[in-house]
This record gives sequence, C-alpha cells and structure tokens, in this order.
Amino acid sequence: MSTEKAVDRSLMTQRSAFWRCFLVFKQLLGLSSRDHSSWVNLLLLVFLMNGVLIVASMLVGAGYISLQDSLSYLRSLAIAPASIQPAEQLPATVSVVMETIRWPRTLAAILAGGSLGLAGALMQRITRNPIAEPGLLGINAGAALGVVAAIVFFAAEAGFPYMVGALIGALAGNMVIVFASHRVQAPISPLRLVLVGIAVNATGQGLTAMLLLTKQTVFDQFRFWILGSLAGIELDRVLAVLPFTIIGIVVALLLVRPLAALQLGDASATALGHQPNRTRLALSLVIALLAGSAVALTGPIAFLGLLAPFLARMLVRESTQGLLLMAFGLGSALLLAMDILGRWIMQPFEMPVGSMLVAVGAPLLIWLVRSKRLQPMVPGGRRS
Amino acid sequence: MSRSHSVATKDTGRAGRQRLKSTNIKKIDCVCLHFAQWTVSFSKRAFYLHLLLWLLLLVASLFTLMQGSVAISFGDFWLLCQGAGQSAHQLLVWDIRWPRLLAGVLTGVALAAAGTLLQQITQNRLSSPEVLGVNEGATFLLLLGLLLSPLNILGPWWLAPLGAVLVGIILAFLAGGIGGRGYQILLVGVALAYFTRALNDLVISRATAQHASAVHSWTLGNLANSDYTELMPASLLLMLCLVSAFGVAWHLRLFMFTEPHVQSLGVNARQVQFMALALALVMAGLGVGIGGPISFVAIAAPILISRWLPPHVLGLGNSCLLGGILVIVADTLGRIVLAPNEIPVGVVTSLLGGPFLLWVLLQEKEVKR
Repeated sequence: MSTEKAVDRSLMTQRSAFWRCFLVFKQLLGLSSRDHSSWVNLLLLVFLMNGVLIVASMLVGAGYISLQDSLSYLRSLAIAPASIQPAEQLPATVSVVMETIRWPRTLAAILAGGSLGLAGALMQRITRNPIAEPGLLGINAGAALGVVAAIVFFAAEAGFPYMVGALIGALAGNMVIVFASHRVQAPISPLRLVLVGIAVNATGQGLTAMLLLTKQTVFDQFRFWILGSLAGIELDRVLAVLPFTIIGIVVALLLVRPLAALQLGDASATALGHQPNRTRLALSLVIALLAGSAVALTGPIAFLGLLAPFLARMLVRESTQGLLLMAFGLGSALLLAMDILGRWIMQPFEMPVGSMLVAVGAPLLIWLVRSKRLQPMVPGGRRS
Repeated sequence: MSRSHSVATKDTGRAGRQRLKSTNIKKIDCVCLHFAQWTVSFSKRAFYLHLLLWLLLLVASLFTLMQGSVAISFGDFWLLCQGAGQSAHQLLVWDIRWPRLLAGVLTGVALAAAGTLLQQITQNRLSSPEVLGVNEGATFLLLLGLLLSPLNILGPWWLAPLGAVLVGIILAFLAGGIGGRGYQILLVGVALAYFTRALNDLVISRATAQHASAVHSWTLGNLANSDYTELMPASLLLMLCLVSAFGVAWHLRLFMFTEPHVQSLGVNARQVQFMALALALVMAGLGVGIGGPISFVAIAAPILISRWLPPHVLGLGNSCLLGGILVIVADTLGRIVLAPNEIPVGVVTSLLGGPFLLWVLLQEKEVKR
C-alpha cells in the first residue's frame, strides 16, 4: 500500500512523462527515491538503455525483412496482442523471424553479456587485478573446451548438457588462475597473470581444435560459435541456461559484503569476521557458473569482462553492489549494441560479435597497460 | 693454442655473476682460441649440445620420412634412398613428405631464431613472435592477399615478413620502445595479437564457404600443403637473415648487462638492438610464410636451450636446431596420433606449449624492474 501511495505522490509532483515512468520503474524495483547514492539512478538509466537496445535489436537484422515490417509487427504486439492477427497484415516470415531468430538472440545477448560483465567484475575483485577477465584468463576457453568435449564424447545436444560441460571446463580454467594468483611465496603481478591466461587459453583452444577436427560435422556446426557469435541461437538453449545465470547473479549479490571486505586485504577481511579463502572459493564457483553459462550460449567472447567493469568503475565508485549490478547492465548493453552493429555494418554478411568486441577491447587494454591506472589496485603498489 | 680460462667470472658485472649462480654449472667451460691479437671463446657444452642436436635432427627427419598414415620399413626406405623401390613410395616420400619436412625444419629454424633474438633484446624470456602479435600480423597480410586476389589463393610468401615488420613497428610505437620495459611490451603485444586475430577472423568470415575451412586450417599452423616453389626464395632469404643474425648475435650476447655497460664496451647498443629486431621480425614473418603461424616454438626453443648452456652463451645455433626438431616432431605426432585424421602442427604445439608456458611462468621469480 505504501509503495502505491509513494508512486502516486511522485506522479503528482513530477511533470515530465519520461521522468514519471522512470520513477515508477524505480519504485517497482523497491529502490526508494530517498536513497541518495547516485549509482541507483545511473543503474536505472543503464537498464532503460537496455530496453531501448532490445527494441532496436528486434528491428535490425542482416536479412531481407524491412524495418517497416518489423516495426508494425512490434506495434501489433504492443497495442493489442490478442485482437489483431499479425499474420493477416504481414508476411508470415516476419513473425517467424521475430519469434525464432531475433527474440532468442536478443535474450541471449542480454544474459551472456550481463554474465560476462559480472564475472569480469568479480574476477577483478578477487585477483585484485584490473585487467583480469574470463576471456583473457582462459576461463572462456576452458568452458568452450567443456562444451565441445560434451558434444564429441557424450553426444550432448541440448542446453543442459552443454551447460554441465561448460561449467566443468570453466571451473578447471578458473582453478589454474586462482592457484597461480594466490601462491603464498611469490604473488603474481597483474601483467603476468594475463600471460598465465595465454597459457590456459592456448591449451584449451588446442584441445578444442583437436576435438573439432576429428569430427567434421561438429566443426561445420560450430565454426561461428567458436569465434563467439550470437547467430543461430534457439530459445530452448536460452531457457536452459537462464536458471544458472540467475543463480549466479543471486549468489554474487549475496556475497557482496565478504567481497567488499576482501578488497581491504586478507588480514582486514579476517579481522572483520570473514573467511577470505572461503569467499574466494565461493566466488570462483560463481564466476565459473556465469562464464560457463555465457559460453554455452554464445561461445567464448573475450574483452567484454574487461570493458563492462571498466566502464562500471567509472560510473560507480564506492558501492560494491552497485559496481556488480552496473557491470551486469553494461555488459548486456555492450554485447547487444555490438551485436546490432555487427548485423548491420556489412550486410548481408554478419560480423561475429566476438570479433567486434575485440576491436573495441584490445585498444582499451593497450591504454590500460600503458596508463598508471594499473598500479593502485595492486597490493603494495608493485610496479611492473 | 687453447687453454681453459675463466672469462665469464672475470668480465661479467653483478648481473652476470648472479645469473651464473642461478644456473647449475659448476665448472667454467670456456675454450679460448688465440690468434695474434684476436681471442675467440667457445663453450664446450654448447659445442657438444650442437653435435647432439644435429644427431637428433637427423633421427627426427628419418622418423618423419618413414612414419605417417602409411609406414615405410627401414629396408624399403634404404631402397628409396638408392633411387629404387615402389613408385607409390617414391611419390609419397620424395614429393609429399620431403617438402613437408623441409618446410617444417625451415619454419622451426626461422621462428626459433626470431624468438632467441627477441628474448635477448627485450631481456625477457616470454617475449616471442606469437605473444607479441608478430605472427598474427604476418598472417593478416597473407589473408588480405587472399581477399584481394582474384584466384582466391593465399598471398605470395613475401607478404608475411612485410606484415611482421609492420606489426613490429606498431608495437614499438605503442609500447614506447622495445628494450627493457618488463611486461608492458608483452601486454601491449598481447592486445595487438588479439586485435589482429579479430581482423583475421573478419577476413576469413568474408571468404567463400569452401575456402573458409581450408584457410582456417592454415591459420592454425599447417604444413600439409608445402611445395618447392614457395620454399626456394623464402629459404634463400632466410639463410641470408640467419647469417646476419649470427653476426649480430656476437654483440647481442652483451645485452645480458645493462645498456650503459654495453655502450662502455664499445658497442653501439641502439644499432645492434635495431638490427636484431629487424632480423627477428623478418625471420618470424618468413617462418609464418613458409609453415603458417606455428605457436610456442619460438618461445620454447630458446628457453630449453638456455637451461643447458652457461649464461654468457646466446645459443642461437642450438635454438635454431631445436626449433626445427620441435616442429617436425610435432608435425609427425599430429599425423600419427589420430591417423587417418591429421592434426595441424600448430594445434599440437599449442597443446604442448600451453603447459610449458605455465611451467615457465610459475617457476620464474618475479622480475624486478
């Protein structure tokens, strides 16, 4: 009841229609307007941007369906879903394309992008390394290997077995990274951790290539998946992966406080009553869950886990919770935007979204490596 | 004429002595030859290792020629060497396996030489053409040649060194110089490699479907389609580069000290660095042009060699031999393990090279710069 009243009051005081929608959205999410931390507003803005991008993603495609047709299909859905039959006015192909191609694809982009962004943010926190990222550090390659192994050895065909394979592979990759970054005698510098990632990547990709080469049919099927692509995703697969992503997000948000304590260093975290090693273990599982679910959907996509948390850190400074949510939102927005761009820039071909992200992410990595930003996050301010 | 002489301990500075301590060579194994005013020092270990590696190369070559999806017995092979034997075997060995073996050895030699030079210039064991993105740059120009040519064939071999040099220039520009910057140059190279690989994927995805598969298998590093016409000019240029590299290596050994030390010994450090870098880039490009981007040979060969040699020996010749051996052994393994399916040699090397790199990284102490 009180929520409704608050909504009513704010509706009366604000004049702009856009602002009113925004406030309602905020209230429905349970975030009160008295919370003055600025990241809440920014976060909602990012989610609104995601909404816009979803619509754009439904409208743009590499195929032959005109913008008008897709627009009128969307309008028919929005105005009166039941009374108007879209099939009467529009060619049947439009609704087929919209429902079986563009909608699953959009949903997959939101899920996979958000998962990778969140996984990147978590990794950067637990390795204390601003260039840690599931793609660069080989976790995605491990997950991809798991999926391909599941297909080749166990003839996996649906979303759930993919997911299991991806999870096991991602965990294996993550264990190597955690082992390498937390040896007691010699802590590893951020830059060297990326080289460890290259080693993991090379092994994973080599094994994947070997498995794919032995089965030519599998190779043909997965030629684009292995580059990281959103093309040809079916709704079943998205729905099979969805619960895992949700579990990952929820557990990550439940672990916000131990994670924030970890930022102060192991000794301080222990003094605050947390158990750093357990936190890291739990978060490693979460990272594997998130990265694995993303890879099961879209194939190994690099640099998204670097870009999204980097932008999120610019927007959110203090709050760990805000940072994680922002990384999720920005991750989905980035992947979706890059996918739309990739469908559009070289019609009728499609550019794999993985390549698009590398084109943006690699220059950022170069800039990060050259800048002094790399220093403060390292414990003891080690110069490298 | 020759006498044992502790050159290494007398002439090296602090850094050199520390490196001496870290290796487990008890005895100084220098042999110095004096002719009038010139003194030349050799390492005995390096010499014995050299002989051993030639032997290994010979054995590996015989193994490569005889093994495969069709195995040839030693007696049949002896007949073939005399010009007799079945015509099918003759075709198989002399027209298919022999060019492939040559291409493998040349690629390995070129990549290992490039790796040795790069590691010595940057004084970092992890800098090598595949980590720095040089291989990807060479691949990119070859693929671009494919996209632009009307016949849909890969570009001519000389595009590869050109691409390698191009990436090298961009790398030096982005990292602000090539020597003594620790991991920064490596990471810039890693990012550059990712970027160029994305460009390569883009070119492949624009190629027609029936070519895409073949081109993809080439970009993994594949020796399957080697023939003489491409080999001859490339190998001539490679020989030229190798000879110059041995000339440069003489001064390059001094880079185990700091740059001022090198200057004070009367060597123009900048010039040597520049020459060595240029040679390394061209040779890496040639390696890619001959055999495709085969990863981890360039990084593994010099590191393995340096474990057996005293620190003042660069071991360029030894690394080259080991590189050749590694490539042909990996290629033969790829042909045998899953026969009749062939695993491209690049896949085999990255499979074995990943754990190797991990091992190097984890046992190495943090470099302080």
